[in-house]
Amino acid sequence: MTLVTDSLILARKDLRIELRTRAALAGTLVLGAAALVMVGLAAGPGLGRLRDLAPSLTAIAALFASLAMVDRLDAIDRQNEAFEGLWLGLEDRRAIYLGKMLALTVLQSMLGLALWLLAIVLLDIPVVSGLLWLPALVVFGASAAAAATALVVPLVGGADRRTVLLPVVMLPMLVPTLLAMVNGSRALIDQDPAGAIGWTVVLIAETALFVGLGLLAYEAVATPE
Amino acid sequence: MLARHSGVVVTLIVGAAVAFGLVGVPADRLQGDAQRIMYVHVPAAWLAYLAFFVTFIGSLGYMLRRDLRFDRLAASSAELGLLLTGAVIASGALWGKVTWGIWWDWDPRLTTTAVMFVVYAGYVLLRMSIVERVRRARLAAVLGIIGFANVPVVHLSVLWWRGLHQPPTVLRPGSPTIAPILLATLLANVIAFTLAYAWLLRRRIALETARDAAQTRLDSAR
Repeated sequence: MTLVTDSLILARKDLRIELRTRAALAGTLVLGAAALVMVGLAAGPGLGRLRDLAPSLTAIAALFASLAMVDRLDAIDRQNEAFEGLWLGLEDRRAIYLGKMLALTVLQSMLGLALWLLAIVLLDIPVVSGLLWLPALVVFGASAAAAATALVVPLVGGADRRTVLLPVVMLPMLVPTLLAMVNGSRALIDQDPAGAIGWTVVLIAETALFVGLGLLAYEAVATPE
Repeated sequence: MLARHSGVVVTLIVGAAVAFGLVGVPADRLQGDAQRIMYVHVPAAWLAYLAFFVTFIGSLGYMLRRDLRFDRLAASSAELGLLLTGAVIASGALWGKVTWGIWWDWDPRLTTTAVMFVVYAGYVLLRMSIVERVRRARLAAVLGIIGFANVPVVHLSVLWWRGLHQPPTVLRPGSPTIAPILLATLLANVIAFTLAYAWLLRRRIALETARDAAQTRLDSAR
């Protein structure tokens, strides 16, 4: 039970830090919104075309904004040797991975939902009953992305060109998540709830796979120098 | 004598095999001369798989034994695999322009190959970005193991999803769907490219070993 309890404590710690300042959430939301508007402008002005692009546009904006968020949360952990303290103090260090993954899931879900609301307004997506499934899709998309990200961030943590490396290493791993997110949300817009449920199941499977991988590899990846 | 001139011997063998593929065998009945790109494209693709498998084994070996020889093997093979994947994409684009009329299509095989290229480009970049030797080996090993998951996906993508790329003609259930003379030429090129890969791998490992030895001497001199 230590693993689960410690993970929840660490996730609460990360969320409390973020919700006190809301620096990462506000910053990344603005970044995601800017990406949505800029790409919309570049691809526009036809609303029909933008509606077709909406699932991929929103997923890409959320993905890039998530990378910025992860970077900020990791930077907080690296201050004042806080990470080394956690590493030495915990009985099961995989709790750091799980805690980070849970906190990221919550924050990225909030970010994803906010971006979708924005997309509904900006890209004129018809609000149909199928969109009620959207929160589930966003949450499981966020959990799959968070499970992979929480593993990759310490992997590139000590590298020189970290800002370049993080997206280069991260994005290929997130291709299946991106595909499932885009196809799932497209199914919702096309009023195909069965298709959306199928893609949500894919996202759940991806989360399970990445969490398994993270629990196996985290200690090897995150051991401080 | 042979060992000393092994590079020349390998170059001659590869040159002869490629030349035979380009001018020695008859052109394919349907595709014409464009099909001859296959004698470079297919061996490069198979060897890219092999190279990444060797990286996977080297990475696994390093994680189990913590022996830098495994890390050198993984790193050297990944660089060669990346080079071969680049050759696969370039030759495929050439063939695509002639046959499909386009350089690139978001076909599952092409897309997964591009993802594989980015994964191993990330692997090489990661190695270039970490100075501390043991940390570099450990982190690269993790990525070398995880990154390999994409390789079977690339191979099976033509069976799992429908796309423009043709399904496997040799590594498939049942007998190969290719004329015997073309198959023989293809296999000759695979053997020649494999020799070249083995030679380059050996040279690259020797270079990496020399680099590690130089670094050790430098560290002890400080």
